[in-house]
Amino acid sequence: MTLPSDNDSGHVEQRINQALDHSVEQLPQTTKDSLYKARLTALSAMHNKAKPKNLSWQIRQLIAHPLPKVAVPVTAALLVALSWQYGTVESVPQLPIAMMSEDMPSEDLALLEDLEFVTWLAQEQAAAAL
Amino acid sequence: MDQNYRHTDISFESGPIKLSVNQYNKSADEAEPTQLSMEGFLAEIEKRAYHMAAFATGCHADALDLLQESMIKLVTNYAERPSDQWKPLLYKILQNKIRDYHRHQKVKNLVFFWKSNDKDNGDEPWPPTSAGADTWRDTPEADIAKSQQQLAALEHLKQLSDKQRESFLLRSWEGLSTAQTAEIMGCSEGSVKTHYSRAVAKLKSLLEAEHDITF
Repeated sequence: MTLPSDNDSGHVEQRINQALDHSVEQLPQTTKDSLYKARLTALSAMHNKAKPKNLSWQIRQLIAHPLPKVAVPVTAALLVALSWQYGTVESVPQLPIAMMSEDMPSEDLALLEDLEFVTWLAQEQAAAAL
Repeated sequence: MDQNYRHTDISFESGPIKLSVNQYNKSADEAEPTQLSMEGFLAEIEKRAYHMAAFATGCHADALDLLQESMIKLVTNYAERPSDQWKPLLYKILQNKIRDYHRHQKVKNLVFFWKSNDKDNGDEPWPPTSAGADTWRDTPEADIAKSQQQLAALEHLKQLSDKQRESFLLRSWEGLSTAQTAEIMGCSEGSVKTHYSRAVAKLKSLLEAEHDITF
């Protein structure tokens, strides 16, 4: 590959750059108007960004963010599921009767039966007295 | 004593007010030149940037869209940067947008392969042909030949590859350094020099072939 000399490059660059400059100067009015509108749009975007935002706007932005968009419904669903589960489960589970009767000493069981009988007898006497 | 008290009271009250006015004026003074210089910068560079986008897309409307998006991104994200960084930043954003545009066009052409690739949808072609450029048609007869030569020069520029054209426009026309051009194009300085050298060589050969002369 042969590289162009500095002098040649200068001529070529000058010629092309002149054509480009001429093209810039001779832009149609419609294009100039379009460029002006584009510039105004960009500058208005800068002004809008500089404006202080109120609280409702900030909340809307926060909600519109992708993370809260997913996190809020998921958290709400989890809370509902957990509260429902706690509501249905009994807080103190019942002891199995078999285990109670087996583990309890026979003397205590007899005493409990006597106590129940005495209580029933007292209730019956009270009822008869009335 | 009373007068002294009043005097002290007044000066105490006027202090913060004056300070706040000064602060307000200072911030307004600081904000205004930034805003004005950004507007001036955009007004100065928009036509050249539009030419770059138009050469890359070959379409007036797409070039305008890309330029507007680039300007919005510059003013919203980089307005606080020093003004001497704006030019390379704008061109960097614009080149990224142009790259995205070409990717989208490629995908669009693959998906809608049965559709014609010609831009016959009413958009103005770029660069304007000698028959289609109203402003150039109105030039005096003596300048017509020169205008046509300049249009031909723009056509030659369009025949370069994207990288060659980018490097030529940024280095030669915009006068950016090799390092800045490399940063904008996302390649090494050596690549920029190669693209630029090939661009000049190709343009030279095209101009020689057109006018049957040697530089």
